[in-house]
Amino acid sequence: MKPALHAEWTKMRTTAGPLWLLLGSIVLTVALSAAVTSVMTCGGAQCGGDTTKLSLTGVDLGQALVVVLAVMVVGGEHSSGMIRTTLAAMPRRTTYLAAKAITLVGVVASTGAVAVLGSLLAGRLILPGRGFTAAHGHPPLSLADGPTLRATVGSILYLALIALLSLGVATAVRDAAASIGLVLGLLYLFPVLAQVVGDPDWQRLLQRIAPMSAGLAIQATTDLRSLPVGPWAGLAVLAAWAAAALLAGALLLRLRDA
Amino acid sequence: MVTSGHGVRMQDNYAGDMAGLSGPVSATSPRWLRLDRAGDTVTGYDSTDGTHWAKVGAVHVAGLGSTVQGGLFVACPPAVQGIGTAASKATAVFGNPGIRGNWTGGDWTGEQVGPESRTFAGYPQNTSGSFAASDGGFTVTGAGDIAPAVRDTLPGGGVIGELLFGTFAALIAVIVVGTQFITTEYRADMIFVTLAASPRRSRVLAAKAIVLGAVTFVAGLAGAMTAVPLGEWLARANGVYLFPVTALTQLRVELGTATLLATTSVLALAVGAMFRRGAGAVTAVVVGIVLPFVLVAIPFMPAGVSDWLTRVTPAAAFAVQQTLVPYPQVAGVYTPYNGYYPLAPWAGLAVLAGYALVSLVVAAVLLRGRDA
Repeated sequence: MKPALHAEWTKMRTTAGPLWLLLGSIVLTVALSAAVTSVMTCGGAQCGGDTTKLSLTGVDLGQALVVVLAVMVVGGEHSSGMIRTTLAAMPRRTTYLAAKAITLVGVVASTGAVAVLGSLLAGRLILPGRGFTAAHGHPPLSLADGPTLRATVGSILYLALIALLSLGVATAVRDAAASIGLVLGLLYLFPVLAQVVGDPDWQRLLQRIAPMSAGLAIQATTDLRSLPVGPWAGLAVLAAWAAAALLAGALLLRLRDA
Repeated sequence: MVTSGHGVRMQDNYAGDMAGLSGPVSATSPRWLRLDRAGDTVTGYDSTDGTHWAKVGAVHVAGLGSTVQGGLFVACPPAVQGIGTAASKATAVFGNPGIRGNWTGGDWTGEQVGPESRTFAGYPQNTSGSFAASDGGFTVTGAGDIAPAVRDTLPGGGVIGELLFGTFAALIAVIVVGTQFITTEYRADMIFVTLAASPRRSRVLAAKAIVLGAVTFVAGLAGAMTAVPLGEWLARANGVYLFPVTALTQLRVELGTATLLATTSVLALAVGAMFRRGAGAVTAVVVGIVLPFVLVAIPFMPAGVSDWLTRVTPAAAFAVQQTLVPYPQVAGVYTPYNGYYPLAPWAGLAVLAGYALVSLVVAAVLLRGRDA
C-alpha cells in the first residue's frame, strides 16, 4: 500500500493540472461566496436567512473543479494509456484505486478547508456591512458556534465525498468528458428538478435523495426541523452515493481489461 | 373601479386594463363611476362631481345575455411580501347606486364571490368580508383579486417550460457530445489527418458546427415535440392545471428548445476546440448554463441579481421556454425562479447565440494560430 500511495502522490504532485484545479477551486469558492454575501441585504429588524449557509454558497461552484480533478486523476490514465503501465507496476487493482482515493481525499480536504474557511471569513467581514448585524438577530459568524462549526467541517467532508463520488464514476466510465457530464448532471439536475416539481411530497423526496441537495443540508444552521433531511443524515446520503460509485468502479476495474 | 394607488381603472375579461382619472381618492375627493350598456358593448365613464363625465373606455363582451347582474365590489389583491404574497383586505364606503333604463333590480344583497376559487388568497387572520347598508349607501369589506392567475397565486399550476424539464438532462448530454466532437480528434490524433485532408482550418470548424448544430436541432425538436404533448396529457390525467398557451406559443417553445440545444452544442464544440481537452470544456459549459439556475433558487436572492444572472449568462436562453405572462396590474413575484425571465424569448436565445458565436470565432483564431 505504501508504494502505491507514494506513486499516486508523486503523480498528483508532479503534474501541473491538479495544482491549478485546486487553486482554481479555492478562488472560485471564495469569490462566489463573497459575491453572494455582498448582494444580500437585511433591511428590517428581523430578517430571516441562514448567514452561515449563505457564506458557504461558493461550494456550489468550487465543487465543479473538485469533480474535474477527481475525474482527471483516473481519466488521465486512460486517455494517455498510462493505465497499462500503472497496472503492470501495481497488479492489485483495488490497492491502486484505494491509493488514488486516499491521496485524492487528502488533497481535496486540505484545499477544501482553505476554501471553506476563506468563504466563512469573507462572510464574517462582508455580512455586517449588509445589515446582518447582531441587532438584527445575526451575530458575526464564528467557529465557536456549534452549528457553524458543523457546517464548516461538514462542507469540507462534502467536498471530499464529491471527490470520491467522481472518482468512482470516472473509474466505471473511463472517459473523462462523459464522466464529468454524468457527475455534474447528477449534482446539478436534482436541485433544478426539485424546483420544477409542484408536488411538495415529491419535492422533499428529491431533496432527500439528491447527492447535492442532501449533502449540502450539512450547511444549514437555522430552522433545521423544516429541512427535508437532517444535516448529518444528508451527508450520509451523499456518502452512500459515493460508496456506491466507488464500489461500482472497483468492481468494473477488477473485471474489465484496462 | 377606484384604486388607492393607480387611479380609476376599467378592467374586463380578467386581463384587460384601461386607465381613467388618476390621483388619490378620499371621502373629501370621491369618484363617480358609470357603466352604460348598448347591446353587448359596455362603456365606462368616470367623474369627480357626478355631472361632468369622461369616457374611460368601451369593451365588447361577447355573448352578453339580456339578463345581467350588476353590483358593487371590493377586492384587495394579496400583497407581495418577501419571496411570496400575503392575504390582505380592504373596506370601501359607497354612495347610493343609481340605476336607469330597463333595470328591475334594486334589492341589493351581499355575497362573498369566488371563495372556492383555487387562487383565492383568503382573508388575513381573524377577519372576514362584510356588507352593510349605511346612509343610503353601502359599506363593503372584501379580499382577493379579480385578475388573471400568476405564478404565486397558483403555485400548483404547471407551465410548458416545466414539462420540458428534460431539457437540462439533454443539455448535459449535448454538451458532452459537442465537446467530444472535436476533443476526440485531439485525443486519437485524428486531428492531424483531418487537417492534412482539409488544410483550411476555419472551414473544418464551420463544417463541424453546421453538422453538429443541424443534428442536435432535429433531435431536440423531436424530443420537444414528443415531450410537450406527453407532459400535457400526463398533467391533465393527474388533474394538474396547466396555464393556457396558444398553439403558436407552444410551437415557439418547441422550436426554441431545439434551437437552444443546437446552439449549446455549437458553444460546447467551440469551447472544446479552445481547450482541446474534454474535461475542462464540459465543466465550463455546464457550469456556465446550469449554475445560474442553482444561484437563482437561493432564498432571499435579490430580484435584481436573479434578473442580471438570467440576462447576461448563457442561462438567459431559457427565456425561450417562458409562457407565463406578467400583468402590470397584478401584484406578483415576477422573478426567473417563478418562471418570469427578464428578456423576451428570442432575445434570451440571442444571448446564448452570442456566446456561441464569440466562442466559435475565438476557437477559429486559436485553431489557425496553433499547431494541432
